[in-house]
Parts: sequence; structure tokens; C-alpha cells
Amino acid sequence: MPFEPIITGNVGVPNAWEIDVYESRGGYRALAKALREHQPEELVDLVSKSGLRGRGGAGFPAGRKWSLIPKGAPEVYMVCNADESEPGSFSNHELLDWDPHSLIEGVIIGSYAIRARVAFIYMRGEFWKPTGQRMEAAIAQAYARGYLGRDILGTGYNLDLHLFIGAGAYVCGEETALLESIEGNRPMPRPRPPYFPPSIGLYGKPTAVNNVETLANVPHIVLNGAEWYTRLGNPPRNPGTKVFSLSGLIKRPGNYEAPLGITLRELLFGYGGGMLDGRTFKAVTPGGTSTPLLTAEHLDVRMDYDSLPAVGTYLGSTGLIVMDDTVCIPCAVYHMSKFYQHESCGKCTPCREGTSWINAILYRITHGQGREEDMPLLLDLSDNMGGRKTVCALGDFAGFPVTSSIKYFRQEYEYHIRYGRCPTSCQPAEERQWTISQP
Amino acid sequence: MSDGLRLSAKTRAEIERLTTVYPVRRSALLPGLRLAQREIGWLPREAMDEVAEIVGVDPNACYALATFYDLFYREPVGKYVIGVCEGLACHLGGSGRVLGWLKERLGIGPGETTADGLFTVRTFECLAACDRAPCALVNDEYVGPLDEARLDELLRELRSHPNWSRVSGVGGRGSGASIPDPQYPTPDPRHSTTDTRHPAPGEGRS
Ligand SMILES: Cc1cc2nc3c(=O)[nH]c(=O)nc-3n(C[C@H](O)[C@H](O)[C@H](O)COP(=O)(O)O)c2cc1C
Ligand code: FES
Repeated sequence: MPFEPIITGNVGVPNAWEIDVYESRGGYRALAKALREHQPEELVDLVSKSGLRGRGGAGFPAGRKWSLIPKGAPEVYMVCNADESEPGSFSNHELLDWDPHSLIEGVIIGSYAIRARVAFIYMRGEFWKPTGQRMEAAIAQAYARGYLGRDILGTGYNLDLHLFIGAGAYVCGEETALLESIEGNRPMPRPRPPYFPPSIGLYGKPTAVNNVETLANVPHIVLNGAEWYTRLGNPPRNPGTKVFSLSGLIKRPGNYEAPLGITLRELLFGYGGGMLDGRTFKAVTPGGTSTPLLTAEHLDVRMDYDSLPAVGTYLGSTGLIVMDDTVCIPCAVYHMSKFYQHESCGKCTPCREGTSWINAILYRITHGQGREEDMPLLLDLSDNMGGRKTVCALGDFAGFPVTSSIKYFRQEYEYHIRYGRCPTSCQPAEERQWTISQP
Repeated sequence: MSDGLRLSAKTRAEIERLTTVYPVRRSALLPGLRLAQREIGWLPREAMDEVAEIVGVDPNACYALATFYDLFYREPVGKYVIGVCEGLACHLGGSGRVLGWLKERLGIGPGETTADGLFTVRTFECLAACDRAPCALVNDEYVGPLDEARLDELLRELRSHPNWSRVSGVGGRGSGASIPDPQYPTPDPRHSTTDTRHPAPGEGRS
């Protein structure tokens, strides 16, 4: 793997989160270049030309998002989404732990590009030690060195950056729920269209919401140029790298930065070291549990924003939870369904009711009380929650593991319904009482 | 203060300060509740009412947040909250076993607190540390991967250190480096944009 990591370059460097270490490794040079040599619009252009796509899941072009911010708006906000709650994703967490300054630098450049004077980093509530503390300290250091505050680097640009810490809710990762959370409201997503955050966002003002990894790429693009970036990864539509989180039943779980477009096989068997001894690969969540599963027949698919939709799934937040032949798929999916039932904010009826029903039906299937009609019922429920029938995509997400697992592992559901037990000995009985509680 | 349900002058002042830091006062609500819980350990109604009063919103706004977020406790919890991750990766890694060991050792399951008030066991959804499965969040510290020996060591440590979450090296990537509480500078309100009242910041929702 002869490959130079871009955004994880500081991970593992002792005290990388200290500003002196960061600066000694070239940190904040991009900021100086951006502010001194570029007009804001030029930076929007630069990022557009680089082809950088949002790493939060949807892959929306970052430059295009910034260009949607109305020119000359008196008040504009930049918000970094560091909520990372997608089951299976832990790449932002590691970046934040090691390299808070590269995010801060990205946030400042992004803010300047859209002419924001106030920016927020919204971090999930569980990230406090050491993540939140390091970020708080890093922000203080950046203020002290004149990278934040008034007249940044003598250029006349002013920016305040707030670290805003949540209190535990998956839906806060959804950009409009996140904005509601900052505003002090119950964090429920806002209906769109007609207005998206770039026109009406935080406090009703134009706002760009960008993921941690998206913004962490920006300083590198400023330093090395758009041209350089378009040659990485899987150009032209999927340039750059992505930090993939590998977990579950795999030899070497961890975060791996790899070019977009890498095959699933290379990721799992190269970077991840393959399956545990004597086991065979069965299924994986390519982008966290909120994306349809992939199976052994998909090992040669390329991991990027366009190749995965071609096989019916998404890159999402690249949280790959690996399941091998010892895992009973209906039990695993039951487990995922608990998450959505718990995290549905309750605003939209299809999602609020549907997630509970799916959870209850999967409970009975995995507990020897499955019924003949349960599989069609699950598909029907998923269908009624998905396809933009809800304000945010959580409704779609909750259905994905269900529909995809029925598609690829129908016989395991049938086995459960017919014989009342797992087709594999997935879990010793004494553990079941804890992991499978009554909904 | 005296009854353990109210905020100290220090915390009140800190929340007061937060109301001037953000472009809009109400944004101090969630951080205010976090501070209140950090001081008291949970969110009694009295404390929520105080936060609401300082921020200048209806108390219902606080209850609406406290009932929504997972990390807010509306009942007293033990000194150490052991939150076992039950996300899929941790589940595959044996979170069920961890809960079983805790039941054996402490006699409690998720949602329960030991009689001596030392431990509460709860579960979490994915904590974004799946490479350390099965992991747990113990107060503010990440611990994992947990096996039986590590769990016993953790419980021993918790029992013997009066202020564990400050001294431990068990948790945290980069091994819980003890960072001093940083001084977060107050952004200058003059150049923080001012007239930013949202037309109706969630009025009528809660
Ligand atoms: C239910 C739900 C949860 C989400 N969680 C996150 C998250 O934790 N982190 C994130 O960056 N984006 C998350 N998103 C996507 C955001 O809404 C948004 O698209 C993203 O922050 C945009 O940033 P980007 O353009 O840089 O990708 C979530 C979306 C939904 C519907
Ligand atoms: S599943 Fe436990 S940290 Fe992700």
C-alpha cells in the first residue's frame, strides 16, 4: 500500500493536538495562504474544482454547497458536524482526538470562504475525554496565536469559533436537527424543501454544515491545489481519500485512510487483515448500519459515492461492521433495529411507529415466535418509512438493514420462523437475556 | 447547594456567562443543562428551573431537552455510571458478556444503581469507538476493549480512587492524557454578530 495519507498524517504523532507540534508539521500555513492570497470566492472555486465531496454521507460537493450561500448576506454561519453517531463509524473521533487543529484550520478557511464571522463545531456529548477537552484547548491556543478572534493574521478578517457539545442523540447528526440543537430547541429535523441551510440555517441565517473530514481536507487542497486533489482516489467524480472504520469480526479493526474507489476486498482483506481464523466473510455494513448490507458477492465493488449506489447501497459514513459465518443475520438486524427505535426523534409518524414495529417484529422472529406473514410485513413497513416519506433520512436508514438482509439472507429469516431458532449458533443462551431484551 | 438540588453561585455565573457568548441567548440552554448536571450529577427539576430562569425561557424548554437527550439523567445516578456500548460492533464483540459480568459482580442490570450509590449500569448505542469493542463509557472516560480481567481491574480502580475520572489512565485514546481544564476565551461580543434573533426560535414546540 504505497500511499501517503493526507488527513490522517498527524494521527499517532506524539502530542499532535498541541499547536506547536501542529505548526512544526506545517500547520496553519494553509490558513495564511488562504487569507493572504485568496479572495473568499476564489476559495469556493478552488474547492469546487478539487471535486471534494461531503464526507458526512451524502457526498454533496463541498464547493457547490458553499456557493449556495447568498453573496453579501450580512450574517452567515459555518457549522462543523462532529456528531459522529452512525453505528460503526469512528473516524471523526480519531481525527478529533489527534488532530483538532487541522479541523480548526479547515473551519477557519471554510468560514472565510463563505464570509462567516461565527462558526460552530458541534460535537457529540459522549466525546469529552479527551476529545472535547483537546478541542477546547486547541481553540484557546488558536485564539492565543491570532488564528481566531479579531483581525486574523492581520488580514482584517474576524472569526469566533464555538465548541458546542451535544448530550447524546443520533438525530443531532442530521444537519437541521443539529441546528435546532444549537438553538436550544428539541432537536427535530426541519422540513426541506423549500429552504435548505445554505439559505435558511442557524438562527434563520445562511449556514454551511460540513462534516469533520470534509473540512479537514480543505487545508491540503489550499496548499497543494485543486489539480493535485483531482488526481487522487477515483477521479473524476470521486477524488481524494476517505478514512474507513473497520470493526466487528475482523482481524485488525481500526481506521484506515485509503483512496476512494478502493475495492471492498482490499479494504477488508488487505487493510483489515481479513477474517478471524477459520471464519468466512458473510456481510458488512458499507457505510454504517444505515446503509444496505453487502455480501461476499460484492467484494470487488469499489468503495465510492457512485459505485456503491450501482449495487444498491451507499458509502455513507464508511463504518464497516464485519459479520462472518458465525453471525445470525436476523439477530444482528434485530440489534440494529433497536438503535433506530431508540433514536427516532418521533416527529414523523412513519418513522416513529415504523421503527417500533420493526423492532417488535424482529424480536418475535428472533425469539421463536415468528409468523408466516412477518417478512412481507417487515418489507411493507420499511417501504412505508423509506423513499422520502419522512422529514429526514432516518426513516430510510432504519429500513435499509431490514430490506437488504431479507434480500440476501431470506433463508435465515425463514429458518427462524419455521424452527424458532438461529440457523447459526450465534449467541450462547446466557448472553441472550442481556443483548435481546424485550422491546 | 444545601439540599443538593440547586446550583452553586459559580455554576449560575458560568451559565450566565454562556448566555452572552452565543449569538442568541437560548443557545446557552443545552450547555447550561450540561453544567447543571456536571455539578449535581443529575437534573432535578429545581435545577432545570434555575437554568431556565437564567437563560430566560420557560422551564418547559428545559424539560423538553432533558427528556430528549440520552446523557441527561432525571433521577439520581451512582457516582460511577458504567455505560456499556450495545452497538452492533460491541455486541458482536461480546457486550452481552460484559453486562453479565457486571450483574455477577454488582448485582445490577441496565438502569439500576447499587444500594451504596457507587455504581449505575446503563447501556449506550454505538459510542464511536467500535475498534475497541466491547467498550464502555465510564462517566467521561472511554474504556475498552473489555475482557473479564480488565473489567475487574476497572472496578477495583473505581472503588479505590475517590476521584477516579480525574486520575485514571485507563480510558481514552492516547491513554487519558490528563489535560488541565483549559481556559476557553470569551469571544468578544462586539464582533460576534448581534441582532440575530431567530423569528421564532422553536416557539411553541417543546
Ligand atoms: C439521521 C442522520 C444522521 C446523520 N449523522 C451525521 C453525522 O453524525 N455526521 C455527519 O457529518 N453527518 C451526518 N449526517 C449527514 C448530515 O445531515 C449532513 O448531510 C452532513 O453533515 C453534511 O456535511 P458534508 O456535506 O460535509 O458531508 C446525518 C444525516 C442523517 C439523516
Ligand atoms: S458499537 Fe460500540 S462503539 Fe461502536
